[in-house]
Amino acid sequence: MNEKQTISSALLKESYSVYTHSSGLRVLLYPMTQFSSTYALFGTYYGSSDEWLVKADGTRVRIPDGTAHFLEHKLFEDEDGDVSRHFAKIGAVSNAYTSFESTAYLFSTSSEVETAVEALVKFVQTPYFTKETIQKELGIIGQEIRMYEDDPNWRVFFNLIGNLYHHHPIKIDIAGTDDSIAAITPQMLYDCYETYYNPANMALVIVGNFDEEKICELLDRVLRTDLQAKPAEKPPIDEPDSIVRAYSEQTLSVSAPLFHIGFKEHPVSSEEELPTQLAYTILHELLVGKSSTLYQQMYEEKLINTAFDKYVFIGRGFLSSIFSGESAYADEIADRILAEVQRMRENGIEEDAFERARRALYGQAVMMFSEVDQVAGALLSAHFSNRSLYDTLSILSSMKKETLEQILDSAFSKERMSISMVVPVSHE
Amino acid sequence: MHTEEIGSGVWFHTLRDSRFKTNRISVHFLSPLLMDTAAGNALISKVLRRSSEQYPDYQSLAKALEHLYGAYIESGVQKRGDCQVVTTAITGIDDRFSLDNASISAQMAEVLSGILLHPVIEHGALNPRYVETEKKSLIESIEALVNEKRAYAVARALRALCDGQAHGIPVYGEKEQVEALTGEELLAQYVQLIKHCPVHIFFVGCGDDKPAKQIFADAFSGIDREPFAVSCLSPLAEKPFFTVSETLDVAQAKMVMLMHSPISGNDVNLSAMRVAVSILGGTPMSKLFLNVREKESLCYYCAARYDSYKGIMAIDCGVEEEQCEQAKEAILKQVEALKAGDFTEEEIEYAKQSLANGYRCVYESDVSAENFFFGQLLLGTNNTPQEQFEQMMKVQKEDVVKAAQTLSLSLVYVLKGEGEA
Repeated sequence: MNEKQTISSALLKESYSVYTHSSGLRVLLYPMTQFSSTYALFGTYYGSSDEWLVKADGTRVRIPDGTAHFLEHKLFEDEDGDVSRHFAKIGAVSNAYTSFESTAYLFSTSSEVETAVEALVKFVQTPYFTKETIQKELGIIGQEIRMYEDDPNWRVFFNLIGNLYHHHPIKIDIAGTDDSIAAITPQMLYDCYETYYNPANMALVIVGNFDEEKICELLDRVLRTDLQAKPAEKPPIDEPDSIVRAYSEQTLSVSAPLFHIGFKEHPVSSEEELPTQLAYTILHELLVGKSSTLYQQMYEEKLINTAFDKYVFIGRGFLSSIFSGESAYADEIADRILAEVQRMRENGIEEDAFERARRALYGQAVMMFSEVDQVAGALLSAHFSNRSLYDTLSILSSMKKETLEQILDSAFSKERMSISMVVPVSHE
Repeated sequence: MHTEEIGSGVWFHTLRDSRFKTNRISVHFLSPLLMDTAAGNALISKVLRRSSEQYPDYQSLAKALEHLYGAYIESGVQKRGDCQVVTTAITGIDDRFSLDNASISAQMAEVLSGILLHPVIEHGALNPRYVETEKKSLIESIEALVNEKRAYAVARALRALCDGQAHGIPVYGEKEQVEALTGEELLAQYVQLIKHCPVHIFFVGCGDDKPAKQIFADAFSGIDREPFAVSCLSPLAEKPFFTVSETLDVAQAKMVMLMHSPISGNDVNLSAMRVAVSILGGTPMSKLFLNVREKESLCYYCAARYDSYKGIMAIDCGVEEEQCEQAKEAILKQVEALKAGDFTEEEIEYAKQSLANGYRCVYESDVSAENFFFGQLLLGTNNTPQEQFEQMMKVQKEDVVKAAQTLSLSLVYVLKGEGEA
């Protein structure tokens, strides 16, 4: 390990170390030695929405939809089969996931941390793809795709993304389709691996009960040093501000209509992601949080039920506010939200409500630090957006209600609003 | 864990743990699972959490919670064997992270005891303002069970197997029962619930439990308690093997196989059974995962788990409809291998290590610690994770085989697509 940087929080009386390995890999070690377990994530900033592979000569190759996810499944296998066995031997749990923008491999263990770290590093840094193993995976992933096709909560969300975005690759289904994954070859997986699993694109996060010195020694021994640090080039995303369609509806076997109301907002730079996310989160609370008058009214009028939720969907080149729930009256709910936005624009934000929302968010941010796995997940995503894990606390304490009022002026526009519905099959 | 009886049939359990930054207080009312009261109890838990005398509407309650640094309330009913557990919990940050020296955990206890024991009662009805909204919400929850296809298939299978028995009663009751409930009936049932049900309160966190304990002791002292003895354990009535097939608009079929064994509750062979189930389908090194998924590529998930209250092993998978028969055979082949002792020492070791990891991680979160100890209490074993771990590590191959051989196939349930009619 070369450089070491220590990041501390006076409030929590905790700190973590960020090391840079000679290969360019960042290693983030967060000791929580009072706990029994250790949770590690080896992640790359490469997800389902990276649709292009930029080669050394600058040419771009379109990757089949679902490749990042397919690669995740296959990297989980070495020459002798599923790598879970290395972890199962010591009782550790291992897994992996692919999201829109990142892929991560993880374990949780309460014994032999070093054995587990070594196994994790080795399998992630040793790709093994063959025609046969790819063929075998088609059936398994095919069943995973089927499972998502039947998942109404996933469909209603995904259809909304399709309504809001013209070209942005977040509209690509994470697992791809039967047809797209059928085109995947071993060479393609190796090419993607070479580009996107370069150490400069990756981070290793370890949180919990471990000996920092021993882990560093181990990593110096097992991390690959034959790779040249080369951050993957990601072509800019060309996406207009306008939406594709204002409404979509899909029929599925569900008990009640599900809705997602989305507002497409102008995306922000990666440095601005976290403050923007927090600002929108507070705005959502002020508009339709549980302590708001609008929530109370809609709830008592039975327009919404306890399934009502809201979140900020944000990443490279995209930003949307999403309000979701179960109701046949999404139009009415959308109108009420728009009216409340207008009212708040005119009257400004109430100081008292702003303080309460900020206080609640502060509490939630502190709560996260009680669990090893939550800290690990948050640390990896903070790292990929170039943030320290404690930034949430400091951004919240310096947040001004005027900033929110500024956002409110242009956000939540009716022209950039779309509704996605999943409605029950009618048996007539 | 430290336990104290703070009222008649009211136990306060404390797990102090300095590693947490939070405190969680949960109150569990232990009710028998009965067709007549299941829907009412489920509705009571939803109606109570909306308000209290002090915070008469949900908006004022929500504001108070935000003021308590985003403390949050969770409530609901759960099925544990023959019992319906009515739970309401509050979680929030510890006092030391308060920015204004507030005693957060004491205030959390006040809010929670107010919700449970000082609800709004008007015109002889329980919280009438919220009865209709919560009825609608509960009915929607009942109807929404179908949305999660995997869980839905398992629930349908269990219901078919335990038809006519307490364990077969749906934990939210029936839709029609919810529809028929009135605020007056709810109040009558609520009075019975707080009078007769054993109550277990857990305090799990880094803070001082004394103020909360005192608050609940005072609150329950005002109630005329006559607690009943409630047990969640009873043997499952034997039935000959049968199959059930249902249709729904799904792309992927779901198959659930239920197997029954007399090993349940505080049976000494439970550790051996847990190892057996783990070898069969508890980990990615299990027989089902390696054979049915990895070797035959039939499923994305195929797993087994065991309900220790009733002695029921559930194996479930998502599979192409036309491959159901093939998957069933592949699964049964693995069950037979388990019963025949056709597994290696290595497989036992994998299973044990996975269970050991689980026991070592019991204290890693407030909810998991609470779940473990509450489960022990209901099963009548009262072991610590360490004791359970030691028992499990002593299990030998012959114990596993013996436990596995007590399993008999009771039901194969398939949820299929509707196809062309």
